[in-house]
Amino acid sequence: MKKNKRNSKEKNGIVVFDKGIKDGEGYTLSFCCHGPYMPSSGGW
Amino acid sequence: MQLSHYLKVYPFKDQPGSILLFSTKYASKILIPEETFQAIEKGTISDSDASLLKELGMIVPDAEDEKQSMLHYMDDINKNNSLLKLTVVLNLDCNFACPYCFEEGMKGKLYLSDSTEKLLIEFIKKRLANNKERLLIDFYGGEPMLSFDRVKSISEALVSYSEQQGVSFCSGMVTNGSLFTRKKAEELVKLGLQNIKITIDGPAEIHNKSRPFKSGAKSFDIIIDNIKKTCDIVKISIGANYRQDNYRKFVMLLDYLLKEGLGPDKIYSVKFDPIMDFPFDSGRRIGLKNECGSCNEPWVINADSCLREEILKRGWFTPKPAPTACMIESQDSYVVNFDGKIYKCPTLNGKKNFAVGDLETGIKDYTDSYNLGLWKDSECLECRYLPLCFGGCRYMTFLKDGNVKNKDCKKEFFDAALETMLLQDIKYR
Repeated sequence: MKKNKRNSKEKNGIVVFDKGIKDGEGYTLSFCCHGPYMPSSGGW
Repeated sequence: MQLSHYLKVYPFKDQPGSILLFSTKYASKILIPEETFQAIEKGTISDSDASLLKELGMIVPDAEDEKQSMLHYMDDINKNNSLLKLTVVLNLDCNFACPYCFEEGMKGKLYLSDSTEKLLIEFIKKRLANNKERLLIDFYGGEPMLSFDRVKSISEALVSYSEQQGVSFCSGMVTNGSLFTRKKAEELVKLGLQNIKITIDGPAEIHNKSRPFKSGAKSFDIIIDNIKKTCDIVKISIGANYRQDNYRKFVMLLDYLLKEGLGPDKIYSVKFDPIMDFPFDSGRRIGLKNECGSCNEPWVINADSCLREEILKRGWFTPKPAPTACMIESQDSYVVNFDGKIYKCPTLNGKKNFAVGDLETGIKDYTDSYNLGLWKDSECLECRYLPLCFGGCRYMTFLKDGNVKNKDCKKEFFDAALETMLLQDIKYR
């Protein structure tokens, strides 16, 4: 089992878990038939 | 500066006095003291905090301007897109007989021919000339490994041409895994194959009923054996299709994979998806009864959350919530059928009125046939989930209505599931 860990940085009490994507950082949007993280692509 | 409109705000029980913020537009995720959050609302935030939050897309100069700018969001992305992505349907044949297959009714001994291959290579060359820097081919079927020699010949041509042109080329494949042997994998990896997706429908007892060979023979052990023998040379993602009555047993598949040594170090990602009896109008045959499921079903929301937790708990990667749109919205992303006709989505491949052209004559306008930009109205612009959804899946709408006029709104799903997904990602990643 993976341990509970907090992969984050903290500044002024703000904890950054995920910096996300930025404008101009190449391909900023996933294109997928159903959305890769959504449970709607069953059957193929 | 103001709070971005495309922001979700949640309480964070693990740390009272703090608030969880998630940007649906940038997929950034932070925990912020309540007083800092109030300072943003009052306009008294410090310069250093403002700088950080601006960088993360959490605050913007004007939230109304931000909403209006979304109207051009897809155009900007398309303008800067250096990738040409083609899904190539090599055949509509299969050695499996999965009862839920969405291609049922189209299947047969239908294979991409030599002449279509030539047209395909020429089509790709023309498209790459349009300032493209990267080429990605997804080999698809039917079962693409039934067209092994065709995968090789297409890849050989593209490896050679890409090298000449200084274009980066790689390929992927969606395969049932039964024919993906070490020897064949080695040949394809040399020709640019980097990742494959294999579907395993749960533990052996379920999978062998759900994904049998045409003869009725069991396929589970053969697939697992092929995965073990190839996972060191190709990135393997495992997908699985669960039903309401069996999804709890899919945890057994995860434990089985670990027991067999196919942990996170061997398998790149794991993701489970629902199938269900879809509302069916016998007067308008639009698919089988057992088609893909809708993510808005309450049992799906619960099942997805449970299974996602079990996957993350065991350390595998599974996709995070992030800005996503239907591939229809992406220019230079096409599906090429075995007969050379071109579509915008694998699930609409071969469906009447959805061809957008062919390899010989090129692409025609598909704005109306695919209802491009259906999300560009006040309802969607106001919705904080817009960047995660962009009007949803055309195929879902097609299954429900027989056309793609309406949206496939995901709000209900996100209202119920997004917070849980974010908390899971914080806990396990």
